[in-house]
Amino acid sequence: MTSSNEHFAAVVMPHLDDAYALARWLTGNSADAEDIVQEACLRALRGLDRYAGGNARAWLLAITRNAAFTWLARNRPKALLATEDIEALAPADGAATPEEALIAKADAAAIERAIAALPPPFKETLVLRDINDLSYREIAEITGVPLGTVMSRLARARDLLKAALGRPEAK
Amino acid sequence: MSPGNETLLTQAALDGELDAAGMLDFENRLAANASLAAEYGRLKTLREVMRRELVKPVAPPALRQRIAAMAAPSIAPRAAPPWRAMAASFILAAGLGSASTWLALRPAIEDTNLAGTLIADHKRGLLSGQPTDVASSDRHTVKPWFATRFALAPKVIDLGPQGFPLAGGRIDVIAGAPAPVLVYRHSEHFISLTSLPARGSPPPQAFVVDGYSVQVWRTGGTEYWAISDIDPAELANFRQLFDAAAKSGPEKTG
Repeated sequence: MTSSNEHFAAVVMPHLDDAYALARWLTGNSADAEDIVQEACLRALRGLDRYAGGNARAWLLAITRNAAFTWLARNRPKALLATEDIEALAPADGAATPEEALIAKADAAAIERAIAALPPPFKETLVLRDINDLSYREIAEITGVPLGTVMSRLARARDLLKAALGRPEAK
Repeated sequence: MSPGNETLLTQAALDGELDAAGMLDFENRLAANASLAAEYGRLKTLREVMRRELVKPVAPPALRQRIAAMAAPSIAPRAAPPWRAMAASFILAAGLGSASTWLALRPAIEDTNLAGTLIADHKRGLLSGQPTDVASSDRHTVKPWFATRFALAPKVIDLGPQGFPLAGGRIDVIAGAPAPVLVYRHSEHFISLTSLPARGSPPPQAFVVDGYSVQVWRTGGTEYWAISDIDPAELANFRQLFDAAAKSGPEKTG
């Protein structure tokens, strides 16, 4: 074992579950997630020299996220279409305020469907926050957008989720 | 349209992103504003439902092992420059080459074109700049890597002292089934050694296709295919060394 290998074991291995969870949610399937995590770890191994210390989890998640989008662009280009003007989209209809009681009754399948249907920028922000438990600042760093954009994407993602789960027929 | 400040503030409160002063201010607003309180309630419920229903995926043990093995090799990323140089020369060759180059790069479907498939896999490994999935000169790394993927892992023999150091391993799909490939290095060249189950009549033992030397031999139930762009005589020498080492004992390091 060289020091670089020990370094890899210390920096990358503890955050493998986080990387896998992110890839799993971004692609929606475990075989693809495995490919992406493997690719991300290879990139991490190659780029270990450039890792300057600090937040190892955010560093690995940033690499995983980039690997996932490269993978999606290559294998499922349609999933990434029409995301350009996403911030300008009208929010979910405010008039139809979802009922709290209906949201409370949602099951795992319904939530997964609703998250899977989110546009990629919203989905990754939500997953990084609510699955990976990262702070706004970390998410901004990983996704490379300003803090304000993280906050508005997160709000939009949750709006869409509430609307999807609060619809009576969703249950 | 972006969400209003009120919404962002509510969310930040829920996510624990407000400082003490901000939180105090928010709680006062919450007490005075019923619609804000309702929105806060919905967001909170959404969060609770997600926590209740969603299980955070955990990396499968096989993936964990694979990645741990990735870090173990001693020559992994540093060996990039020669590969890259080689890949560049291959891209050039592919560009200059005839249509047959591209035909060879296409996966062959028929078993009859096994040599073509194996050569294409060998080329693809070089073109991608990454002839191995696990890069290691240590057979103790390569062997377990294969062992997690195949019921019967291939014999992994290091022929470093004889001039053919192990570079790593990869998996190719041959006739619809995964097959283990050992990758050896010989000066600036690579050798792909694929293990297949021996079936039917034995193929010819040595030939050259498209400038690639091929050696085929059988030991027990295994058929070995060695592919490289080195001189046919050198590849024959590799075959003899591998065969001798394989027979002299169970995976003895040369």
